Amino acid sequence: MEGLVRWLEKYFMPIASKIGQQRHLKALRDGIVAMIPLLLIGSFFLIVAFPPIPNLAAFVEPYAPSLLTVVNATFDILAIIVAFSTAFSLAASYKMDTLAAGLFSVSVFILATMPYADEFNLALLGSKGMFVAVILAIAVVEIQRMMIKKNIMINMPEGVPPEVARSFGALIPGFVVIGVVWLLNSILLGTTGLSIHGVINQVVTIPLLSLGGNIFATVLSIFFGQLLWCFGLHGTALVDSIMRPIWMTLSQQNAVAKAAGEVLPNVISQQFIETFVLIGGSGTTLALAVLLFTTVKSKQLKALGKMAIWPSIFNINEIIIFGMPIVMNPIMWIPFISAPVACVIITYFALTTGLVDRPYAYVPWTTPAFFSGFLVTGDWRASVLQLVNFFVALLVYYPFLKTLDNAKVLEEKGKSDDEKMEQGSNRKEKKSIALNLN
Amino acid sequence: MNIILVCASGMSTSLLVRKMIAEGEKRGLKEFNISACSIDELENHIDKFDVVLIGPQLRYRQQDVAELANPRSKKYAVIDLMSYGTMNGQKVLNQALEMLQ
Repeated sequence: MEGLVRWLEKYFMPIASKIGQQRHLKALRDGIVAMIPLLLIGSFFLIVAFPPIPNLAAFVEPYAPSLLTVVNATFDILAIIVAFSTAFSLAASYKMDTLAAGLFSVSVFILATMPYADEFNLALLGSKGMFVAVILAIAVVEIQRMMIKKNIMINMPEGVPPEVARSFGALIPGFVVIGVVWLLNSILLGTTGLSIHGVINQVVTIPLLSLGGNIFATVLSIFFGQLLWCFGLHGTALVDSIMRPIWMTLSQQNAVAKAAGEVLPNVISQQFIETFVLIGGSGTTLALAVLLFTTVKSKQLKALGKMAIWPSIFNINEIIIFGMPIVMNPIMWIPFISAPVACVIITYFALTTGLVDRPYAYVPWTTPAFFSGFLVTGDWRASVLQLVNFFVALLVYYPFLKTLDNAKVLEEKGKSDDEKMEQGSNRKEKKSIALNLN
Repeated sequence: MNIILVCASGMSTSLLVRKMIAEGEKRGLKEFNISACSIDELENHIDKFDVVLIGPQLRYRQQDVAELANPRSKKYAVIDLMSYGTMNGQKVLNQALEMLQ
Protein backbone atom coordinates (compact mmCIF):
# COMPACT_ATOMS: atom_id res chain seq x y z
CA MET A 1 0.00 0.00 0.00
CA GLU A 2 2.69 2.46 1.05
CA GLY A 3 4.68 1.55 -2.05
CA LEU A 4 1.70 2.09 -4.28
CA VAL A 5 1.08 5.50 -2.78
CA ARG A 6 4.70 6.49 -3.19
CA TRP A 7 4.67 5.27 -6.77
CA LEU A 8 1.55 7.32 -7.43
CA GLU A 9 2.97 10.46 -5.85
CA LYS A 10 6.16 10.08 -7.83
CA TYR A 11 4.84 9.27 -11.29
CA PHE A 12 1.22 10.23 -11.38
CA MET A 13 1.13 13.52 -9.49
CA PRO A 14 3.31 15.31 -12.03
CA ILE A 15 0.96 14.19 -14.82
CA ALA A 16 -2.13 15.25 -12.87
CA SER A 17 -0.44 18.50 -12.09
CA LYS A 18 0.37 19.04 -15.77
CA ILE A 19 -3.22 18.40 -16.81
CA GLY A 20 -4.51 20.67 -14.06
CA GLN A 21 -2.11 23.44 -15.00
CA GLN A 22 -2.09 23.06 -18.75
CA ARG A 23 -2.73 26.57 -19.92
CA HIS A 24 -5.06 25.84 -22.82
CA LEU A 25 -7.14 23.30 -20.93
CA LYS A 26 -7.38 25.79 -18.10
CA ALA A 27 -8.54 28.54 -20.45
CA LEU A 28 -11.10 26.16 -21.90
CA ARG A 29 -12.28 25.25 -18.41
CA ASP A 30 -12.70 28.90 -17.49
CA GLY A 31 -14.36 29.54 -20.83
CA ILE A 32 -16.92 26.84 -20.12
CA VAL A 33 -17.51 27.92 -16.54
CA ALA A 34 -18.29 31.39 -17.90
CA MET A 35 -21.13 30.06 -20.04
CA ILE A 36 -22.88 28.16 -17.23
CA PRO A 37 -25.08 31.06 -16.05
CA LEU A 38 -26.42 31.35 -19.61
CA LEU A 39 -27.07 27.60 -19.70
CA LEU A 40 -29.00 27.79 -16.44
CA ILE A 41 -31.10 30.73 -17.60
CA GLY A 42 -31.78 29.04 -20.94
CA SER A 43 -32.73 25.84 -19.14
CA PHE A 44 -35.15 27.70 -16.92
CA PHE A 45 -37.02 29.01 -19.95
CA LEU A 46 -36.85 25.59 -21.59
CA ILE A 47 -38.43 23.97 -18.54
CA VAL A 48 -41.14 26.65 -18.37
CA ALA A 49 -41.86 26.28 -22.10
CA PHE A 50 -42.29 22.51 -21.76
CA PRO A 51 -43.80 22.02 -18.30
CA PRO A 52 -43.92 18.34 -17.33
CA ILE A 53 -47.58 18.53 -16.30
CA PRO A 54 -50.02 18.06 -19.25
CA ASN A 55 -52.61 20.66 -18.17
CA LEU A 56 -49.96 23.23 -17.59
CA ALA A 57 -48.32 22.37 -20.91
CA ALA A 58 -51.58 23.08 -22.75
CA PHE A 59 -51.82 26.41 -20.97
CA VAL A 60 -48.24 27.42 -21.78
CA GLU A 61 -48.27 26.23 -25.39
CA PRO A 62 -49.27 29.55 -27.02
CA TYR A 63 -46.40 31.28 -25.22
CA ALA A 64 -43.81 28.60 -26.01
CA PRO A 65 -42.36 30.23 -29.17
CA SER A 66 -41.82 33.45 -27.28
CA LEU A 67 -40.25 31.64 -24.31
CA LEU A 68 -37.96 29.74 -26.65
CA THR A 69 -36.42 32.92 -28.02
CA VAL A 70 -34.43 32.95 -24.78
CA VAL A 71 -33.18 29.46 -25.61
CA ASN A 72 -32.11 30.80 -29.01
CA ALA A 73 -30.19 33.58 -27.35
CA THR A 74 -28.44 31.28 -24.85
CA PHE A 75 -27.98 27.66 -25.96
CA ASP A 76 -27.89 28.50 -29.65
CA ILE A 77 -25.06 31.00 -29.46
CA LEU A 78 -22.81 29.26 -26.95
CA ALA A 79 -20.02 28.84 -29.47
CA ILE A 80 -19.77 32.64 -29.76
CA ILE A 81 -19.70 32.93 -25.98
CA VAL A 82 -16.99 30.28 -25.74
CA ALA A 83 -15.02 31.94 -28.54
CA PHE A 84 -14.95 35.09 -26.44
CA SER A 85 -14.50 33.63 -22.97
CA THR A 86 -11.79 31.12 -23.91
CA ALA A 87 -9.71 33.72 -25.73
CA PHE A 88 -10.31 36.12 -22.86
CA SER A 89 -9.04 33.72 -20.18
CA LEU A 90 -6.12 32.50 -22.27
CA ALA A 91 -5.04 36.08 -22.92
CA ALA A 92 -5.41 36.80 -19.21
CA SER A 93 -3.09 33.91 -18.39
CA TYR A 94 -0.46 35.48 -20.68
CA LYS A 95 -1.20 38.93 -19.22
CA MET A 96 -2.15 40.15 -22.68
CA ASP A 97 -4.94 42.50 -23.74
CA THR A 98 -7.95 40.33 -22.84
CA LEU A 99 -10.61 42.42 -24.50
CA ALA A 100 -8.83 42.58 -27.86
CA ALA A 101 -8.23 38.82 -27.79
CA GLY A 102 -11.88 38.11 -27.06
CA LEU A 103 -13.12 40.42 -29.80
CA PHE A 104 -10.77 39.08 -32.47
CA SER A 105 -11.69 35.56 -31.48
CA VAL A 106 -15.41 36.22 -32.02
CA SER A 107 -14.72 37.92 -35.31
CA VAL A 108 -12.51 35.09 -36.54
CA PHE A 109 -15.04 32.49 -35.44
CA ILE A 110 -17.79 34.14 -37.48
CA LEU A 111 -15.42 34.53 -40.41
CA ALA A 112 -14.54 30.84 -40.33
CA THR A 113 -18.19 29.86 -39.98
CA MET A 114 -20.17 32.07 -42.32
CA PRO A 115 -19.14 30.79 -45.74
CA TYR A 116 -19.88 27.25 -44.60
CA ALA A 117 -23.61 27.81 -44.66
CA ASP A 118 -25.56 29.22 -47.57
CA GLU A 119 -27.65 31.15 -45.13
CA PHE A 120 -27.05 32.28 -41.60
CA ASN A 121 -27.28 28.96 -39.81
CA LEU A 122 -27.85 29.35 -36.08
CA ALA A 123 -26.83 25.76 -35.31
CA LEU A 124 -23.27 26.56 -36.38
CA LEU A 125 -23.05 29.17 -33.64
CA GLY A 126 -24.23 26.72 -30.99
CA SER A 127 -23.25 23.16 -30.26
CA LYS A 128 -21.85 22.50 -33.74
CA GLY A 129 -19.41 25.35 -33.31
CA MET A 130 -18.09 24.69 -29.80
CA PHE A 131 -14.81 23.02 -30.69
CA VAL A 132 -14.30 25.29 -33.68
CA ALA A 133 -14.63 28.25 -31.34
CA VAL A 134 -12.18 26.77 -28.84
CA ILE A 135 -9.55 25.88 -31.42
CA LEU A 136 -9.77 29.25 -33.13
CA ALA A 137 -9.70 31.10 -29.81
CA ILE A 138 -6.46 29.36 -28.90
CA ALA A 139 -5.00 30.00 -32.35
CA VAL A 140 -5.93 33.69 -32.22
CA VAL A 141 -4.31 34.25 -28.85
CA GLU A 142 -1.20 32.26 -29.76
CA ILE A 143 -0.68 34.21 -32.98
CA GLN A 144 -1.17 37.48 -31.12
CA ARG A 145 1.28 36.40 -28.48
CA MET A 146 3.89 35.38 -31.02
CA MET A 147 3.66 38.77 -32.68
CA ILE A 148 3.92 40.67 -29.44
CA LYS A 149 6.91 38.57 -28.47
CA LYS A 150 8.64 39.33 -31.77
CA ASN A 151 7.59 42.93 -31.31
CA ILE A 152 5.65 43.08 -34.57
CA MET A 153 3.25 45.84 -33.63
CA ILE A 154 2.85 49.56 -33.98
CA ASN A 155 4.93 51.17 -31.28
CA MET A 156 3.67 54.59 -30.36
CA PRO A 157 6.14 57.28 -29.42
CA GLU A 158 6.20 58.27 -25.79
CA GLY A 159 3.75 60.95 -24.86
CA VAL A 160 0.88 59.21 -26.66
CA PRO A 161 -1.74 58.40 -24.02
CA PRO A 162 -1.51 54.71 -23.00
CA GLU A 163 -5.12 53.98 -23.98
CA VAL A 164 -4.52 55.25 -27.49
CA ALA A 165 -1.32 53.26 -27.73
CA ARG A 166 -3.19 50.18 -26.60
CA SER A 167 -5.83 50.49 -29.30
CA PHE A 168 -3.13 50.64 -31.94
CA GLY A 169 -1.08 47.94 -30.25
CA ALA A 170 -3.77 45.39 -30.99
CA LEU A 171 -4.27 46.55 -34.54
CA ILE A 172 -1.51 44.71 -36.40
CA PRO A 173 -1.84 41.40 -34.54
CA GLY A 174 -5.61 41.58 -35.13
CA PHE A 175 -5.11 42.35 -38.77
CA VAL A 176 -2.78 39.40 -39.18
CA VAL A 177 -5.05 37.02 -37.26
CA ILE A 178 -8.11 37.91 -39.31
CA GLY A 179 -6.09 37.95 -42.52
CA VAL A 180 -4.63 34.50 -41.89
CA VAL A 181 -8.01 33.01 -41.12
CA TRP A 182 -9.55 34.67 -44.16
CA LEU A 183 -6.80 33.36 -46.42
CA LEU A 184 -6.91 29.85 -45.01
CA ASN A 185 -10.67 29.79 -45.21
CA SER A 186 -10.64 30.90 -48.84
CA ILE A 187 -8.07 28.29 -49.79
CA LEU A 188 -10.00 25.53 -48.01
CA LEU A 189 -13.28 26.60 -49.62
CA GLY A 190 -11.64 26.68 -53.03
CA THR A 191 -10.02 23.28 -52.75
CA THR A 192 -12.25 21.17 -50.51
CA GLY A 193 -15.49 23.12 -50.55
CA LEU A 194 -15.41 23.21 -46.75
CA SER A 195 -14.67 26.19 -44.56
CA ILE A 196 -12.37 26.06 -41.53
CA HIS A 197 -15.50 25.40 -39.53
CA GLY A 198 -16.45 22.48 -41.77
CA VAL A 199 -12.97 20.97 -41.66
CA ILE A 200 -12.66 21.22 -37.87
CA ASN A 201 -16.09 19.66 -37.56
CA GLN A 202 -15.07 16.70 -39.69
CA VAL A 203 -11.65 16.23 -38.15
CA VAL A 204 -12.22 17.14 -34.50
CA THR A 205 -15.83 17.64 -33.46
CA ILE A 206 -17.42 14.53 -34.92
CA PRO A 207 -14.78 12.08 -33.63
CA LEU A 208 -14.71 13.74 -30.19
CA LEU A 209 -18.47 13.71 -29.82
CA SER A 210 -18.78 10.09 -30.89
CA LEU A 211 -16.06 9.26 -28.38
CA GLY A 212 -17.78 11.21 -25.60
CA GLY A 213 -21.15 9.66 -26.42
CA ASN A 214 -19.69 6.18 -26.35
CA ILE A 215 -20.62 4.01 -23.36
CA PHE A 216 -17.18 2.42 -23.05
CA ALA A 217 -15.40 5.75 -23.03
CA THR A 218 -17.88 6.93 -20.41
CA VAL A 219 -17.34 3.91 -18.17
CA LEU A 220 -13.61 4.38 -18.52
CA SER A 221 -13.83 8.10 -17.64
CA ILE A 222 -15.92 7.36 -14.57
CA PHE A 223 -13.63 4.51 -13.53
CA PHE A 224 -10.55 6.67 -13.86
CA GLY A 225 -12.10 9.61 -12.00
CA GLN A 226 -13.18 7.37 -9.15
CA LEU A 227 -9.80 5.67 -8.95
CA LEU A 228 -8.08 9.03 -8.55
CA TRP A 229 -10.45 9.92 -5.71
CA CYS A 230 -9.38 6.70 -3.97
CA PHE A 231 -5.95 8.28 -3.64
CA GLY A 232 -7.44 11.57 -2.49
CA LEU A 233 -7.16 13.45 -5.76
CA HIS A 234 -10.11 15.30 -7.24
CA GLY A 235 -10.61 12.77 -10.03
CA THR A 236 -13.82 14.27 -11.31
CA ALA A 237 -12.21 17.67 -11.81
CA LEU A 238 -9.31 16.08 -13.67
CA VAL A 239 -11.46 13.95 -15.94
CA ASP A 240 -13.82 16.88 -16.42
CA SER A 241 -11.11 19.10 -17.79
CA ILE A 242 -11.02 16.74 -20.77
CA MET A 243 -14.53 15.26 -20.93
CA ARG A 244 -16.70 18.15 -19.83
CA PRO A 245 -16.47 20.20 -23.03
CA ILE A 246 -17.59 17.09 -24.92
CA TRP A 247 -20.40 16.16 -22.55
CA MET A 248 -21.60 19.77 -22.37
CA THR A 249 -21.78 19.91 -26.15
CA LEU A 250 -23.86 16.75 -26.20
CA SER A 251 -26.18 18.28 -23.55
CA GLN A 252 -26.50 21.39 -25.60
CA GLN A 253 -27.50 19.45 -28.71
CA ASN A 254 -30.33 17.92 -26.70
CA ALA A 255 -31.51 21.33 -25.47
CA VAL A 256 -31.53 22.76 -28.98
CA ALA A 257 -33.39 19.71 -30.32
CA LYS A 258 -35.96 20.01 -27.54
CA ALA A 259 -36.59 23.67 -28.34
CA ALA A 260 -36.99 22.79 -32.03
CA GLY A 261 -39.42 19.97 -31.18
CA GLU A 262 -37.05 17.31 -32.51
CA VAL A 263 -36.06 13.94 -31.07
CA LEU A 264 -33.26 14.35 -28.50
CA PRO A 265 -30.13 12.90 -30.13
CA ASN A 266 -27.86 12.08 -27.17
CA VAL A 267 -28.02 9.64 -24.29
CA ILE A 268 -24.69 10.49 -22.69
CA SER A 269 -24.35 14.12 -21.70
CA GLN A 270 -23.26 16.22 -18.74
CA GLN A 271 -26.58 15.53 -17.01
CA PHE A 272 -26.14 11.80 -17.57
CA ILE A 273 -23.08 11.99 -15.33
CA GLU A 274 -24.09 14.74 -12.88
CA THR A 275 -27.75 13.93 -12.41
CA PHE A 276 -28.03 10.18 -12.81
CA VAL A 277 -24.63 8.68 -11.98
CA LEU A 278 -22.91 10.81 -9.34
CA ILE A 279 -25.91 11.01 -7.00
CA GLY A 280 -24.59 12.61 -3.82
CA GLY A 281 -21.22 13.34 -5.45
CA SER A 282 -18.41 11.17 -6.79
CA GLY A 283 -18.89 7.53 -5.88
CA THR A 284 -22.70 7.87 -5.85
CA THR A 285 -22.27 8.38 -2.11
CA LEU A 286 -25.75 9.64 -1.19
CA ALA A 287 -26.59 5.98 -0.58
CA LEU A 288 -23.52 5.62 1.61
CA ALA A 289 -24.41 8.79 3.54
CA VAL A 290 -27.90 7.45 4.22
CA LEU A 291 -26.46 4.12 5.38
CA LEU A 292 -24.00 5.95 7.63
CA PHE A 293 -26.83 8.04 9.01
CA THR A 294 -29.15 5.13 9.74
CA THR A 295 -27.49 1.73 10.10
CA VAL A 296 -23.98 1.92 11.57
CA LYS A 297 -23.04 1.09 15.15
CA SER A 298 -19.52 2.47 15.39
CA LYS A 299 -19.38 5.82 17.16
CA GLN A 300 -16.96 7.29 14.67
CA LEU A 301 -19.07 6.30 11.65
CA LYS A 302 -22.26 7.47 13.35
CA ALA A 303 -20.75 10.88 13.95
CA LEU A 304 -19.60 10.94 10.34
CA GLY A 305 -23.10 10.07 9.14
CA LYS A 306 -24.61 12.95 11.08
CA MET A 307 -22.10 15.36 9.65
CA ALA A 308 -22.17 14.05 6.08
CA ILE A 309 -25.87 13.67 5.40
CA TRP A 310 -26.76 17.32 4.75
CA PRO A 311 -23.94 18.20 2.38
CA SER A 312 -24.53 14.85 0.63
CA ILE A 313 -28.08 15.85 -0.23
CA PHE A 314 -26.54 18.71 -2.17
CA ASN A 315 -23.98 16.39 -3.78
CA ILE A 316 -21.03 17.52 -1.65
CA ASN A 317 -19.20 14.55 -0.20
CA GLU A 318 -15.60 15.38 0.67
CA ILE A 319 -16.53 14.74 4.29
CA ILE A 320 -17.20 11.10 3.46
CA ILE A 321 -14.27 10.70 1.08
CA PHE A 322 -11.73 12.09 3.54
CA GLY A 323 -13.56 11.49 6.81
CA MET A 324 -14.56 7.85 6.56
CA PRO A 325 -12.12 7.75 4.87
CA ILE A 326 -12.42 6.26 1.40
CA VAL A 327 -9.00 7.64 0.54
CA MET A 328 -6.30 5.02 1.20
CA ASN A 329 -8.91 2.60 2.53
CA PRO A 330 -8.94 -0.23 -0.05
CA ILE A 331 -11.96 -2.01 1.40
CA MET A 332 -14.14 0.96 0.39
CA TRP A 333 -12.61 1.32 -3.06
CA ILE A 334 -14.56 -1.59 -4.49
CA PRO A 335 -18.01 -0.09 -3.88
CA PHE A 336 -16.77 3.46 -4.48
CA ILE A 337 -15.72 2.52 -7.98
CA SER A 338 -18.34 -0.08 -8.83
CA ALA A 339 -21.46 1.80 -7.66
CA PRO A 340 -21.10 4.64 -10.19
CA VAL A 341 -20.07 2.23 -12.94
CA ALA A 342 -23.24 0.21 -12.27
CA CYS A 343 -25.26 3.44 -12.43
CA VAL A 344 -23.70 4.33 -15.79
CA ILE A 345 -24.82 1.00 -17.23
CA ILE A 346 -28.33 1.15 -15.76
CA THR A 347 -28.83 4.75 -16.89
CA TYR A 348 -27.52 4.01 -20.35
CA PHE A 349 -29.96 1.13 -20.66
CA ALA A 350 -32.91 3.19 -19.39
CA LEU A 351 -32.24 6.14 -21.69
CA THR A 352 -31.43 4.17 -24.86
CA THR A 353 -34.50 1.97 -24.58
CA GLY A 354 -36.69 5.00 -23.95
CA LEU A 355 -37.85 3.78 -20.54
CA VAL A 356 -36.91 7.24 -19.37
CA ASP A 357 -36.82 10.44 -21.45
CA ARG A 358 -33.42 11.90 -22.24
CA PRO A 359 -32.21 15.01 -20.39
CA TYR A 360 -32.25 18.42 -22.05
CA ALA A 361 -32.33 21.08 -19.33
CA TYR A 362 -29.33 21.94 -17.20
CA VAL A 363 -29.51 22.51 -13.46
CA PRO A 364 -26.77 23.40 -10.96
CA TRP A 365 -24.89 20.28 -9.85
CA THR A 366 -25.86 20.99 -6.26
CA THR A 367 -29.56 20.36 -7.01
CA PRO A 368 -30.72 17.45 -4.80
CA ALA A 369 -31.28 14.06 -6.42
CA PHE A 370 -34.80 12.82 -7.25
CA PHE A 371 -35.76 16.44 -7.77
CA SER A 372 -33.01 17.05 -10.33
CA GLY A 373 -33.95 14.06 -12.52
CA PHE A 374 -37.44 15.39 -13.02
CA LEU A 375 -36.16 18.89 -13.75
CA VAL A 376 -33.61 17.94 -16.40
CA THR A 377 -35.93 15.64 -18.35
CA GLY A 378 -39.45 16.81 -17.52
CA ASP A 379 -40.19 13.11 -16.99
CA TRP A 380 -41.16 11.74 -13.56
CA ARG A 381 -39.67 8.38 -14.52
CA ALA A 382 -36.26 10.06 -14.43
CA SER A 383 -36.71 10.47 -10.68
CA VAL A 384 -37.58 6.78 -10.48
CA LEU A 385 -34.37 6.02 -12.37
CA GLN A 386 -32.45 8.09 -9.81
CA LEU A 387 -34.15 6.13 -7.06
CA VAL A 388 -33.18 2.84 -8.73
CA ASN A 389 -29.58 4.01 -9.04
CA PHE A 390 -29.66 5.11 -5.42
CA PHE A 391 -30.82 1.67 -4.26
CA VAL A 392 -28.31 -0.15 -6.43
CA ALA A 393 -25.57 1.97 -4.86
CA LEU A 394 -27.05 1.20 -1.45
CA LEU A 395 -26.82 -2.55 -2.10
CA VAL A 396 -23.29 -2.22 -3.42
CA TYR A 397 -22.11 -0.26 -0.37
CA TYR A 398 -23.94 -2.18 2.32
CA PRO A 399 -21.74 -5.30 2.75
CA PHE A 400 -18.52 -3.29 2.64
CA LEU A 401 -19.79 -0.72 5.09
CA LYS A 402 -20.99 -3.49 7.42
CA THR A 403 -17.53 -5.09 7.43
CA LEU A 404 -15.90 -1.77 8.15
CA ASP A 405 -18.48 -0.95 10.82
CA ASN A 406 -17.91 -4.25 12.62
CA ALA A 407 -14.19 -3.72 12.57
CA LYS A 408 -14.58 -0.18 13.91
CA VAL A 409 -16.94 -1.33 16.68
CA LEU A 410 -14.36 -3.87 17.83
CA GLU A 411 -11.63 -1.28 17.59
CA GLU A 412 -13.64 1.22 19.63
CA LYS A 413 -14.49 -1.45 22.17
CA GLY A 414 -10.82 -2.39 22.33
CA LYS A 415 -9.98 1.22 23.06
CA SER A 416 -12.49 1.54 25.87
CA ASP A 417 -11.20 -1.77 27.23
CA ASP A 418 -7.77 -0.24 27.23
CA GLU A 419 -9.07 2.61 29.27
CA LYS A 420 -10.63 0.24 31.76
CA MET A 421 -7.31 -1.62 32.00
CA GLU A 422 -8.91 -4.98 31.46
CA GLN A 423 -7.11 -8.26 30.94
CA GLY A 424 -4.35 -8.02 28.38
CA SER A 425 -5.06 -11.32 26.64
CA ASN A 426 -8.66 -10.42 25.92
CA ARG A 427 -7.56 -7.14 24.39
CA LYS A 428 -4.96 -8.71 22.16
CA GLU A 429 -7.47 -11.17 20.82
CA LYS A 430 -9.92 -8.44 19.94
CA LYS A 431 -7.25 -6.38 18.30
CA SER A 432 -6.22 -9.28 16.13
CA ILE A 433 -9.80 -9.74 14.98
CA ALA A 434 -9.99 -6.08 14.11
CA LEU A 435 -6.77 -6.34 12.17
CA ASN A 436 -7.99 -9.31 10.19
CA LEU A 437 -11.09 -7.46 9.23
CA ASN A 438 -9.14 -4.45 8.21
CA MET B 1 -5.44 37.68 9.92
CA ASN B 2 -6.99 36.63 6.63
CA ILE B 3 -7.22 33.02 5.50
CA ILE B 4 -8.61 31.69 2.23
CA LEU B 5 -9.39 28.04 1.53
CA VAL B 6 -9.54 26.69 -2.01
CA CYS B 7 -11.04 23.57 -3.55
CA ALA B 8 -12.53 22.70 -6.94
CA SER B 9 -15.60 24.87 -6.54
CA GLY B 10 -15.27 26.30 -3.04
CA MET B 11 -18.19 24.22 -1.79
CA SER B 12 -16.70 21.67 0.56
CA THR B 13 -14.10 24.10 1.87
CA SER B 14 -16.90 26.49 2.79
CA LEU B 15 -18.10 23.86 5.29
CA LEU B 16 -14.68 23.90 6.90
CA VAL B 17 -14.62 27.70 6.86
CA ARG B 18 -17.72 27.74 9.02
CA LYS B 19 -16.06 25.44 11.56
CA MET B 20 -12.91 27.54 11.59
CA ILE B 21 -14.86 30.75 12.17
CA ALA B 22 -16.71 29.11 15.05
CA GLU B 23 -13.38 28.01 16.50
CA GLY B 24 -11.88 31.48 16.07
CA GLU B 25 -14.82 33.09 17.83
CA LYS B 26 -14.56 30.60 20.64
CA ARG B 27 -10.94 31.56 21.14
CA GLY B 28 -11.86 35.22 21.11
CA LEU B 29 -9.65 36.02 18.13
CA LYS B 30 -10.14 39.51 16.85
CA GLU B 31 -10.25 40.81 13.32
CA PHE B 32 -10.03 37.61 11.40
CA ASN B 33 -11.49 36.79 8.05
CA ILE B 34 -11.79 33.24 6.73
CA SER B 35 -13.26 32.54 3.34
CA ALA B 36 -13.41 29.90 0.57
CA CYS B 37 -13.31 30.02 -3.20
CA SER B 38 -12.67 27.91 -6.27
CA ILE B 39 -9.01 27.42 -7.14
CA ASP B 40 -9.67 28.95 -10.54
CA GLU B 41 -10.85 32.17 -8.91
CA LEU B 42 -8.00 32.44 -6.44
CA GLU B 43 -6.18 35.03 -8.53
CA ASN B 44 -9.05 37.50 -8.04
CA HIS B 45 -9.09 37.12 -4.28
CA ILE B 46 -5.59 36.28 -3.14
CA ASP B 47 -4.49 39.89 -2.55
CA LYS B 48 -6.94 40.23 0.33
CA PHE B 49 -5.55 37.22 2.23
CA ASP B 50 -2.37 36.25 4.06
CA VAL B 51 -2.62 32.48 3.93
CA VAL B 52 -3.95 30.09 1.28
CA LEU B 53 -4.99 26.61 2.38
CA ILE B 54 -5.57 24.03 -0.33
CA GLY B 55 -8.11 21.18 -0.07
CA PRO B 56 -6.15 17.90 -0.19
CA GLN B 57 -8.06 16.71 -3.27
CA LEU B 58 -6.42 19.53 -5.21
CA ARG B 59 -2.90 19.00 -3.93
CA TYR B 60 -1.92 18.18 -7.50
CA ARG B 61 -2.48 21.85 -8.29
CA GLN B 62 -0.21 23.17 -5.55
CA GLN B 63 2.09 24.58 -8.22
CA ASP B 64 -0.74 26.81 -9.50
CA VAL B 65 -1.18 28.25 -6.03
CA ALA B 66 2.57 28.64 -5.62
CA GLU B 67 2.74 30.73 -8.79
CA LEU B 68 0.14 33.09 -7.38
CA ALA B 69 1.35 33.09 -3.79
CA ASN B 70 5.14 33.35 -4.12
CA PRO B 71 5.38 36.66 -6.00
CA ARG B 72 3.01 38.19 -3.44
CA SER B 73 4.91 36.53 -0.57
CA LYS B 74 1.75 34.87 0.69
CA LYS B 75 1.96 31.59 2.54
CA TYR B 76 0.23 28.46 1.32
CA ALA B 77 -0.13 24.81 2.35
CA VAL B 78 -2.22 21.72 1.71
CA ILE B 79 -4.73 20.90 4.44
CA ASP B 80 -4.06 17.65 6.26
CA LEU B 81 -6.21 14.81 4.88
CA MET B 82 -7.71 13.66 8.16
CA SER B 83 -8.44 17.17 9.47
CA TYR B 84 -10.19 17.88 6.19
CA GLY B 85 -12.32 14.75 6.33
CA THR B 86 -13.38 15.33 9.90
CA MET B 87 -13.87 19.06 9.20
CA ASN B 88 -11.64 19.78 12.15
CA GLY B 89 -11.79 23.57 12.39
CA GLN B 90 -9.51 23.60 15.40
CA LYS B 91 -6.59 21.80 13.75
CA VAL B 92 -6.83 23.66 10.47
CA LEU B 93 -7.00 26.99 12.27
CA ASN B 94 -3.90 25.99 14.22
CA GLN B 95 -2.17 25.10 10.99
CA ALA B 96 -2.93 28.56 9.58
CA LEU B 97 -1.86 30.34 12.78
CA GLU B 98 1.44 28.47 12.87
CA MET B 99 2.12 29.46 9.29
CA LEU B 100 1.60 33.11 10.14
CA GLN B 101 4.07 33.10 12.99
